[in-house]
Amino acid sequence: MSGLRAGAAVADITPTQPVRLAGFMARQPTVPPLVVADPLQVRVLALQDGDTTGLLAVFDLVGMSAAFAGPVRLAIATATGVPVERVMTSCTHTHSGPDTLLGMDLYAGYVELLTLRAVEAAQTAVAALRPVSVGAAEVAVPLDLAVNRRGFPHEPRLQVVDLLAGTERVATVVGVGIHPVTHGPDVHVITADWVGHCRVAVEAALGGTALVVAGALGDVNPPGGDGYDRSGGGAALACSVGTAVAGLATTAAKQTKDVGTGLALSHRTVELPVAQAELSRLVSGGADAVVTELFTWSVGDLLLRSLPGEALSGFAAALPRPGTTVDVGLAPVWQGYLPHPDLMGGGYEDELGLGADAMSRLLVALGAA
Amino acid sequence: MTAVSMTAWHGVLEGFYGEPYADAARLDLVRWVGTVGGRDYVYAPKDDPYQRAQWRTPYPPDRMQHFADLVAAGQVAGVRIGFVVSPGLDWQPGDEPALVAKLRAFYDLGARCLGIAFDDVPPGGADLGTVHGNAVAAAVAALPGDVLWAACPVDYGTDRVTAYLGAFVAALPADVDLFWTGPSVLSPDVPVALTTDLSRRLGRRLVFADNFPVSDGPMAGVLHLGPYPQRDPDLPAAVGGLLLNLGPTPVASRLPAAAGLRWWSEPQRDRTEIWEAELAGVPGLASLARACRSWLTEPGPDPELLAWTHAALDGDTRLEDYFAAGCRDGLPAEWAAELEPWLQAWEWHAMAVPIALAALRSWQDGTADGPGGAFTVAEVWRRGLAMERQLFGIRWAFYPVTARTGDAEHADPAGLVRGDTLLDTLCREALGRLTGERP
Repeated sequence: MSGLRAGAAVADITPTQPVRLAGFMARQPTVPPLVVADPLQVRVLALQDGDTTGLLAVFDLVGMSAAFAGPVRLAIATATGVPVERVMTSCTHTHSGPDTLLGMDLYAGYVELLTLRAVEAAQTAVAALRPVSVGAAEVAVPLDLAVNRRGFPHEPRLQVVDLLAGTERVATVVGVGIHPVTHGPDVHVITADWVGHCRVAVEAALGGTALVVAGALGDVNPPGGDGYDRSGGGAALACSVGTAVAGLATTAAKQTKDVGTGLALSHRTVELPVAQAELSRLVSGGADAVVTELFTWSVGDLLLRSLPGEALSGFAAALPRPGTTVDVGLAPVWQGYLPHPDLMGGGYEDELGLGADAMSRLLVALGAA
Repeated sequence: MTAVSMTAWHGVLEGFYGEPYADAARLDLVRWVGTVGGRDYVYAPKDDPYQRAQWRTPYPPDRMQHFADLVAAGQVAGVRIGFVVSPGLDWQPGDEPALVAKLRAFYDLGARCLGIAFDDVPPGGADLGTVHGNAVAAAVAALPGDVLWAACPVDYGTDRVTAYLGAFVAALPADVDLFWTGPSVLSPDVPVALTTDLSRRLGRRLVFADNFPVSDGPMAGVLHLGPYPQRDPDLPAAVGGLLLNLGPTPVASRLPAAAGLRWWSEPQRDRTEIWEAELAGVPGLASLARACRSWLTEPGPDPELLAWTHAALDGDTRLEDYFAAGCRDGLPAEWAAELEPWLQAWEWHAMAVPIALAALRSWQDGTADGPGGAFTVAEVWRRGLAMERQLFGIRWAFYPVTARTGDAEHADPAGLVRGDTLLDTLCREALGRLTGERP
């Protein structure tokens, strides 16, 4: 059947046993009692046009290394029949979830839970495929909502992709880059952070299934000195940030323009050298080079583009942005921060990544001038 | 007691960083050296505390008994056992009695090759050279005259007579040989003219302590089982002998060491033919040795395997046949035990390469079923890139190649090897085809 079809589904990936929470380097390396403030989820968007199908699975996780993402993608591909090169995983980057980067203190069985739920959501999304039209819009994000923690000038933007089956909304994809860190390193609860609140608010306002994808969030925090409430009021801050982002998204949803038709899914690989620094080797799993998959999906004038880590705003600003471009960060895996090689030297983000040579090569591969 | 030969040095050196060999392994090596034409086994492991960090402390009786056993085994095998003491970490004038006592204990065991090493300690100028040279001279003067002496200066890898070295040799008795690793700590090239000139200016024999096949430090991801490096056939005649610095695998080091010692004795012969002849003498080793033959100057994969890799991308099966034959059949147990991690790495390649090729071929012939080809190849490559041990070529290693600006020694970028392994070549080409970026 020709013409674009879309389906979306949600499944719960909340740990059922205590886990070490991942994301803050400053967090004590302990396994706190399991306290779930709000559930972690995987949300899958299926896109299909004729024989071409792509699955975007967004997880409420800090990120997934290839050791985690690979088996999950394979399982989804096997269960749905969608080629694995068209299964793109991404993460919202919540800092209040299990460690799916190094797998520290992850209980036996969580990977199976994660995989089964992802498969379940993917199958449901595929089963729910129906004809849609696609609109997209982009709006500015106030600088007091998306704070550049390194003090770089930036122009944060939010993209909305609206998938409508007639008048009924199938899904809304919100692309924005703000670290989900509102609870800070001292509050040990499981939470999707502001992202969860945002999705709830978007779905309440618009209907359908909301997906939030992490744009260039590498150096962008929510409001507050470090992006979190030092008094322990992370939940309130998460709610306020999530609600504010949802407000922008629903405003943008009223401004969408039809992007046109025709789904095209591109998958490439690029070799990236790894710097000798210890943290670079930590990111690469000890390897001195990595092979990175790059996804580029388009529908008419809309572009969904994978970025294999936490892009800093300077990195993302160097990339071409044809039509409405949504950066899908931490996709399909997390390979550290992605700083612009000419803007390095200002923070730990430059160290926890593959290094300047890799960034130069990645920029070229992504079409930067 | 057999008479001491004052002929050129020709043997191996246990001088690497890391756990010294087990006693039994060392005794086996001494017996083995004689079977491949060697006549020297020099004991100087960096991490034997009594040899270096705590050099003033006498060896305990059990260690001395082992050294006596070594000397005895050497006499049976026709191999001289040399003992080197390394006092350079904290040498002070006035330490001479402790040094003499340490060396005399070896002499009393029957050892007649003795050495004093100041390698890998902070450098200095003429003053330090004089201090170190005087230390050697004091030891030589204190012991009987039937000892073959060698000294290793701080500036042991050099293309010039540094101020330190000039002062060092000025203080040495004339018949003390100098351990020298060539113009660099690890020397990709050893020009004969430079060697001859340096020996003349230093007024003594240079013993070429070749840092091959050792693989410690940032070379440790590579196992050197290949042919002896390309050296000038006139080099053996230009120096006072060869000592090959062994690696931390006492059994596996025998193959490259034998190849080196044989070539040194017959430098007009083809070094690869010599290696192949030695390799033929170890049943079952060929598959792994071909995977581990790379070194600084020849970092790529085995040329034939690389050719098969290119051909495999277009359907040729010789590479898969090579892997299907395995790497263990007939391999002696002691070799297999020592090489187990490397054998496992080889077997990982034997599993992974056919998977990558199958993914490519099923895409090429339109029968793809299962995981996508590009993902499969990328996954294979990703795992290969993260492997600690590098086989079928060197992807990354840092060899201690050094150069000098004036007297100051510094690392030479030529020591950094960043290359492609067979797996890199295969996966890059396959991915290029699978993703449409290569025809």
